[in-house]
Amino acid sequence: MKALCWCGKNSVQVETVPDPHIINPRDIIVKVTSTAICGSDLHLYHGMIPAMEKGDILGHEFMGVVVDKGARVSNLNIGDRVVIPFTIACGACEYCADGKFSACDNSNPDADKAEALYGHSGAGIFGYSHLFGGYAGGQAEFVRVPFGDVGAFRVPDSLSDDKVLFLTDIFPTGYMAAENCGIKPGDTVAVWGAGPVGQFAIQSAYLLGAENVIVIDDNEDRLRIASEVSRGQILNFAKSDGVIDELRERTGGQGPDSCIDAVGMEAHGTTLDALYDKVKLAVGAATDRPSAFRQAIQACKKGGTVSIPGVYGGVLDKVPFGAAFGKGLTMKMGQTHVQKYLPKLLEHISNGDIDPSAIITHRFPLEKAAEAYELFDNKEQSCLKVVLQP
Amino acid sequence: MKGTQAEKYLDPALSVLVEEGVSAVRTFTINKPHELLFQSARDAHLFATAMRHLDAVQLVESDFELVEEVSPTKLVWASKKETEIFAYGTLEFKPAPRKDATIVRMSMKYALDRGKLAQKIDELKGDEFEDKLMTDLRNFKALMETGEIPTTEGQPMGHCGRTH
Repeated sequence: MKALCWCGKNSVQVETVPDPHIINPRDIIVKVTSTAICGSDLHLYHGMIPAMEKGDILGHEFMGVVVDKGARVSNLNIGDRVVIPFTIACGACEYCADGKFSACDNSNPDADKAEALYGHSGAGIFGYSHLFGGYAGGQAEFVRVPFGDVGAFRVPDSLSDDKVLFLTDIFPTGYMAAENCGIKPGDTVAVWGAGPVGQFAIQSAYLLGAENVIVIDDNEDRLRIASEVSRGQILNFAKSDGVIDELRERTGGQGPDSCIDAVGMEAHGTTLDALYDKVKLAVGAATDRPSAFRQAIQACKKGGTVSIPGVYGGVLDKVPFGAAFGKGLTMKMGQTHVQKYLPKLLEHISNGDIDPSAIITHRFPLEKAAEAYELFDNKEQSCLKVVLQP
Repeated sequence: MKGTQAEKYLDPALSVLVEEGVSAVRTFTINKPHELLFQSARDAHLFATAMRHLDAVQLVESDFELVEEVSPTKLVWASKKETEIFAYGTLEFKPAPRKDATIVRMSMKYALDRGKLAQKIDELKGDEFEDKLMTDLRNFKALMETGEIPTTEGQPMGHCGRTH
């Protein structure tokens, strides 16, 4: 089959590799019909995530048709059309039983590596380094899905791939970020980053009852979509005299009730601390560029919540923890418990409450995935979301 | 004890031999009732399935026997007298605060009889082997909770222009 492989920093290529097959009795094999490039794939592309190996197959946003299944999969049939959560979960451990699927205790065969770095291991993730299991991803013609009986959700034929593909990651990720804010009627939520997760965070915040959602970015194309599609109130930081002052001004002097960092480890801020991060990272003295996170803490209202769907990988420098403590902030974060949210969000799509396909800006055949990565990375041609068709 | 090498292991006179072995201890909370886990862990096949590093020390399922059993709190597996490598595994079970969950403390120890395969001691020492033991203990938990052991062995991978 054809699959997109990571071949080093800023280098991916489509190769012919062997087809996947059933390895464990709860596996299924999916023929991929649609797959997308995630913003977090760019962290891999940039070499920001450790424990990648040349030849690893990328992709954690994908859907398709079940073409084979293991002996212990009884809830799916060959031919079922399914979407696959990016986090691999066993459904049986304490964490899965509590709905914390991304903390699954049993799906990461490389758990020792994650434990050494983080103290404990989270769930395995498709195509996301050997810290998270080294599983072959879904930017491919076929993919093996471990624990397929827990990690595959049937979708109705009446909904196109474009409508349901983002149930695999970015819609639930944006939704969980908003839910983590504990939004109350009348709340104002600020979202850093108008990328795909940011767009879904804005829409989810409204679904959960926010009065105002302000979105902070400097990309005019993305801010336009944030305004027109997601109904966010835009704040272009490149044109602002100061994001924190402006947020205070727009919120009656109090700051947003909740702040969502949908940027993560590769912030492109223009403030002094952001420049400092870039220099430190360039000389290998830092792992992440957390300027959006710092700003979110500084801007947040007293007693408010900072919710972090943006991915971080290492040790963050110069985080204003005194401010967080002084204002009594709550911080919530982590990989998304996709299996928990997916059924509810599928219902929202079916009801027409939200149309995830509105953020798709580009389509490429899988064979041209390397070109698509480059375009997405450079944000050329107003690129917000790329869908690949195997 | 039933006259296996476990007796030797516990003999203070042979403590040096134990020092030359490899061991790993790990405590897990397994999301299953402790009576069920106790019964499952009595199954030699299941025990050997989880302990995949056994291949590395040339032991198979039939080399093991249950040498101590305190129902439903403790099981001790040990390799039989005729094996050259002495392996000794203890599983202790107690109910976890969470309903229907169990705290399982697992330890595995390996040692070699003096004069037998002594040259392999160095091979068995070291972080890598201890890591394997730890992985096996984790495998036991996965097997109990999910019925399988997570793996990526056998999955496709690209070559990025490499010929091998």
